[in-house]
Amino acid sequence: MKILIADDDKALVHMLSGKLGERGFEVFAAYDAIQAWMAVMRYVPDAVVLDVSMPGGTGIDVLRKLKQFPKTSAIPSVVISGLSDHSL
Amino acid sequence: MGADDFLVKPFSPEQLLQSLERVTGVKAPPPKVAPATNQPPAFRILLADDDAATRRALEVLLSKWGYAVTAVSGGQQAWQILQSDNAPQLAIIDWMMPDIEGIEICRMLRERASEKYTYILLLTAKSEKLELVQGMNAGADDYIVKPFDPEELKVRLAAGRRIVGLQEDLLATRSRLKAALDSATRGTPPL
Repeated sequence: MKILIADDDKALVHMLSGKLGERGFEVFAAYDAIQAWMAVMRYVPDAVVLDVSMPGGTGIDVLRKLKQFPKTSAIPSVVISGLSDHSL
Repeated sequence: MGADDFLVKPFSPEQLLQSLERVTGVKAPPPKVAPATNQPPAFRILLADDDAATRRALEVLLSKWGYAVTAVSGGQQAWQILQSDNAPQLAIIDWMMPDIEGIEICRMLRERASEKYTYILLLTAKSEKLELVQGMNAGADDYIVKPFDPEELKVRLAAGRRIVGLQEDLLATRSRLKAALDSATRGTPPL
């Protein structure tokens, strides 16, 4: 299963990629919103993990775009944040 | 905003896996179990220091470097362990201890006739040459002056392990030669 993890915290992405990799996931990493969107279009992952605040746009921006395209609109998403904002 | 799930940092990789399972409906395969390795047991080391903070710090370092540490707070305890049949062959002993000083342990150990060699590294705050010579003369193999650089301690211990390993090899070779000699002379009539 292909997973995209997008977060500007490289250490966190590295750690999560390692752990998910151990469980048999194929993980793609992105460190900003633009990279995240390009990776979505290129790899069409089975799920995306998006940080809310990233350089170049927020994880929510990426999510919005994702929902606009038939090819990517059904990709399940997990949004991660340092803020406890469940209204997202 | 259309997200299927939401996680607040900090979260564990397991929480993310559970979240991914929820949003995709696919259960992650169990973690791969590492195959059993035939790794040799950890090298045992005795650590004797009456200062709890130093002892604890050293214990952490030594464990991190893969040693199996037996830590004691006094010379008497250290001496008892060193006299036992299965004593560690590498020891870090503080020079200044209230009951038996490290230097005294070195002397007693070297006076005892034993085939098994114990490599002793004296831990000391003394940096005077005369005192260090005194320590080495008492039978210490090496010394390290407090406060010390952990990397320096690490390499000095590695040198100690090499000496202990060489000594073990020598004993094993001698034992094999003796067995071969016994076997060869059994069939030979006495002169």
